[in-house]
Amino acid sequence: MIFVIETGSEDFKIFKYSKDENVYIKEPVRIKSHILRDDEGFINRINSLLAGSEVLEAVSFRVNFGGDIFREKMLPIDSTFKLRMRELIRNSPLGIPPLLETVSAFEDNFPELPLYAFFETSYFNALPDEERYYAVPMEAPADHDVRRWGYHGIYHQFNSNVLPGEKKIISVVLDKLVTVCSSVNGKPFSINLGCTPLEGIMGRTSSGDLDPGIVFYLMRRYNYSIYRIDTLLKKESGFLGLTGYDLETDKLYELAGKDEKTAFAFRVFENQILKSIGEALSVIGGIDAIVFCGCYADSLKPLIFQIIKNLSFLGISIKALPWPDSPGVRDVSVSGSAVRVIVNSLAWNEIVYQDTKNITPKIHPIHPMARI
Amino acid sequence: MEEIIRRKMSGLKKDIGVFSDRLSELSDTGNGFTQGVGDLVYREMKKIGYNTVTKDRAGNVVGVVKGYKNTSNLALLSHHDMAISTMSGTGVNKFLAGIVTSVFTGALLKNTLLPLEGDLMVCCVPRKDLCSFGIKHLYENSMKKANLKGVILAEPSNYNVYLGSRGKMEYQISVKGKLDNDFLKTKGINMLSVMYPLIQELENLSRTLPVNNEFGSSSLSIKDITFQENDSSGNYREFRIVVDRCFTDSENSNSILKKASMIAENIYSKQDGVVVETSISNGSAKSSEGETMVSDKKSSYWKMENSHPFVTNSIQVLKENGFDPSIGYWKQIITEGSYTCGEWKIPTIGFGGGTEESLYVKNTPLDAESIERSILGKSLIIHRNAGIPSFGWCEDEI
Amino acid sequence: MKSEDLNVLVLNCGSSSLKYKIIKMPEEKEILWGEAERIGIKTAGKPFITHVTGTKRRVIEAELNSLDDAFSKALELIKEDTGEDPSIYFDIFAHRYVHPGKFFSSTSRILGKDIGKLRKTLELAPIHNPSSFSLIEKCSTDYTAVPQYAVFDTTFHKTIPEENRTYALPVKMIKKYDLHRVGFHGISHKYVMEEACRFLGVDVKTQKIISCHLGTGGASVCAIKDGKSIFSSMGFTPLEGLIMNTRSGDLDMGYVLNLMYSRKLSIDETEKILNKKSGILGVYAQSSDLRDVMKNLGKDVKADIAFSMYIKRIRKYLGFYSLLLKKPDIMIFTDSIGISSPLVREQACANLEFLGIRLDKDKNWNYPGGIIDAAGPESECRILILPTNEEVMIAREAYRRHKNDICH
Repeated sequence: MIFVIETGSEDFKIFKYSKDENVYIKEPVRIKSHILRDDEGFINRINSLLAGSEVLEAVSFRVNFGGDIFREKMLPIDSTFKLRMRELIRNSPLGIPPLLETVSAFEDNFPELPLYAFFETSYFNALPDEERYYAVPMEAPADHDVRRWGYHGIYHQFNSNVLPGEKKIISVVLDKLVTVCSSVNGKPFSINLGCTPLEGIMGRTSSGDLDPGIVFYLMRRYNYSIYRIDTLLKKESGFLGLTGYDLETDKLYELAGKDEKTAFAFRVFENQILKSIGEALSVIGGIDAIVFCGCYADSLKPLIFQIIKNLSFLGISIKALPWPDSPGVRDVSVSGSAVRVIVNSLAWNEIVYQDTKNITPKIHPIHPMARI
Repeated sequence: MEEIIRRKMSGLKKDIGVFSDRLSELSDTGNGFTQGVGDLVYREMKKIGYNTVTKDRAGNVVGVVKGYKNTSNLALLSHHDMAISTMSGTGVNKFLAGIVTSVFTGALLKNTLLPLEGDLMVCCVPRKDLCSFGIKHLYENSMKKANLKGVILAEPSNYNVYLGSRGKMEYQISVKGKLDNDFLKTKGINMLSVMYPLIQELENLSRTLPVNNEFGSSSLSIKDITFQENDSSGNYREFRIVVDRCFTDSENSNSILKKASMIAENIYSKQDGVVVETSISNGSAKSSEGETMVSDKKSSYWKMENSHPFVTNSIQVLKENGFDPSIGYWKQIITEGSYTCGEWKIPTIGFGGGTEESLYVKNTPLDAESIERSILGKSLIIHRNAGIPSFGWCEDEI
Repeated sequence: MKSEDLNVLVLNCGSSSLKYKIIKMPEEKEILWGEAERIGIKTAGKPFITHVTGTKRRVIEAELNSLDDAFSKALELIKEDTGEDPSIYFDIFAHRYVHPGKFFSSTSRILGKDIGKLRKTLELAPIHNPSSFSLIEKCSTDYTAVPQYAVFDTTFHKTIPEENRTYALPVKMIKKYDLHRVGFHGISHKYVMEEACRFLGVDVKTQKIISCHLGTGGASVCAIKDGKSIFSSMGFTPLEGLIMNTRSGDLDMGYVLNLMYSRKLSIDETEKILNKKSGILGVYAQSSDLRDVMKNLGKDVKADIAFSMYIKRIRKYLGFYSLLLKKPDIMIFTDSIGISSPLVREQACANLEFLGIRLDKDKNWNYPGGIIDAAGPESECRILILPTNEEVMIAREAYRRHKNDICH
């Protein structure tokens, strides 16, 4: 069995993959983080996830930030991992501590178990220089730490290789954050999310692209500190700000048919997606395929359809809805279409599992009861 | 960030309740009590998982929550009285809230995993009257080298941010006459008549003391008057007046002592064979670790500037999170701020639930809601001043 | 002199300069122009006015401590000219006013009662509005006999549809402070739109146009459909959009907040950095002028990156607006860099054939001046190099308005 884990401050999620299992859509097991402080409780809980004679072969972690220190998509976790991650604490103060706590729990209680880290940012280390920096003064050495780090590298890297050959691919991840990446021959050329999600496309509660002048205006008018304006921009804006509803994007989309405010919010959202796609197109100068993925790729199919329809002048033709619900990577463009349109329903944990399976040594599977 | 702090609070409610109950059960007075509190706090901090927990010779218990760097170290101080002060004469519950809230503020911050730039030292300091046994030892042995950016005092402030307290001291004026001298020869009412001029001068002085806008008027009260046929040397008769003094910015312990000395000498030193001595009282105590400690009975006046970033940051974060803090000052109680800020110039503020006045009400129970609110406020203050901020990212964005 | 003739004195002021022109309408003939520089500046070199009528050009040093002084001096010079040549005169004032907020939505006659409204808009464009306002106020008190008009930089963008001008912020705040994309350079974008269609002989109401106003200072891109602006790269303030000489353009607010925290900067200090120390200057560091950057391409890594970033940002907007318009019919390059830099045009248009944009290399690199169509033979999109003329546009607007006013 292989575990794919996403950590958080409240709980961590384990996607369990049994040997040769072929289920694509998985609900994770959520385990409250406080168990990480109780060694015996932790071991028992992990064991309880293994049925019968199954053994735990490997655990892979999704790491949200790797900075300049972690440049590969995947890394076996070794004794230097935690120390190196601590160097990055400033860039991801909410993400890194829970990750280190969870990794430690596995390292301490299952010392022989192979652990791997998969990074969401390392794909973008290869971005061209002009894409990585902002047009701001770069005086102090620390300023070079400020750059577009990108996000959803796991998805975008997978999508950039979905067609053989030197193809120009635009990859759109429709998830809690929407990111758009352009790539040529597997190499990234642009990503719309910058240092933080305050650049890019609006989210459930985050504003996305904004005129910096507005932020200064609001700070002065309301006498807001940087902390208060930060909370406003990341927790009170986006769909919540425009509609007043605090719902997941797919639930909001269902509402859009009946509620004018929500329909309007989605028009603003579409505009922002179009902006990101337009930017991506101009950076690579053309398009051979556009790939949609992410947890909302299925529920927002009508939105995808609409976006593509608006791009039909580029010679894109797609099949009419409903598209078949088959799992994995499927081409929904019509055969004469100048541009392939692909919907990839593989979740990030699927991608990570496949990669982990390919590298995990089969020689010494560890029985979870063993603890040295 | 703030929602993470609030969410993790609910997980601590049970432990807070159990700890508060255990603390309340310690009803003894004197050294046994001090021992009990120190041990309980030590064990609880260990259980919570503070990175290090130590107890020093003076009985200070220090738990450290380690930060990622050493750039913004903070200390959170609570205290417990080594003996019930005659001034307050109340039940033991008066200071327990400070202990509970500071121990669990550290616990809360630990549980949130929110990284801090520097270390957080949570200290429970033994205190007796005006003596600085605990805090001075703590400073010499830990605080001095900790390079603290700020100190938060877990004392009642009614959820406001308190920035100072009056100075206080106890001094004695000893007037001695040689045994073969007539001075003080007669006892009874005539002895009083010898003392009377001094008492009257002190009374007059007490009426003309300066008044301060924030702290109210300074005060002088005669605490005790004694007469001895033979002083310790065996050569003098002696009467002694013990005075309690409260003061603010225009005075300090040296100037007060000098003035007292001057008054007494003016009255008595013209007489032959009369010796006048003024000095600051001192007190002694035995720590929970068996160490005998001696200290002067004085604590400095202190006042932080409203505009200091430590103050403005703290007020700002409280305002942004449902508190309505004003700036205030303690008018009655004395706190460790006299030392941390008054003497060692470390930026210091006070924050906690309850009021100074409630400390003098016997056996005020520990109110769970107030404890939680106080923990929340302290955690917010610490995180705003020393936490690594996260702009743009929420933890659930992924 | 026909009855519909009108001489418009166009006034365009900056914080330390005043440009003025008398334009005879409707022929749009330039009668006289002038520029006062270094107004109120006490350092090296005195303030002076350049004043040109026909073939006569004068450069006069003068004590110009304020815009009022400069304006008075200019009028004095014009009066002298009128004395020598009676055909030199003006009938109306036409002021360029950048941002009138919600008080005015089109070119307007400014009467005494409007001064109060304009006063409330000063902070909306803190560098430009106060200057223009001081002149308007002076005209309304000292020259009451002369009708004055204000032509706004933002009016053209009033037609931007709601979903294009909305930021994803709390609705209450949006409504309270009218926070939405405003857009600037409207006068220029409108002018080049009208001139482009006139040049190509097409009806402005049928065209899909992308207009790139690339100046040495500010720069913006505008998407135009059916004769109306539907998007602008500048937003609520001129800080959004393209990389400019000292402005950052689009960037991540999370980065800005981190900067304010780590350097303990105030709002004013941060705004100053983004407005005055970023952009080309921020990346290249040695100069804020793109022309200096272009001179050092291939020799200086910073120049290469600065230029690349500048071009890429323009291309991103070209890509976005091309999708919005479903392939443009006309693309326009205007203002100083748009006109004078074939390299910028070439790089901006490169590899955009899939959007129907093909620049002709020869025509681009041998631009003779005036208006030309530099599109290649297979280009679906016309690509015009078209010098802007804001003063003429201001005169046009004021003239149209004045005629309208007279008729009613």
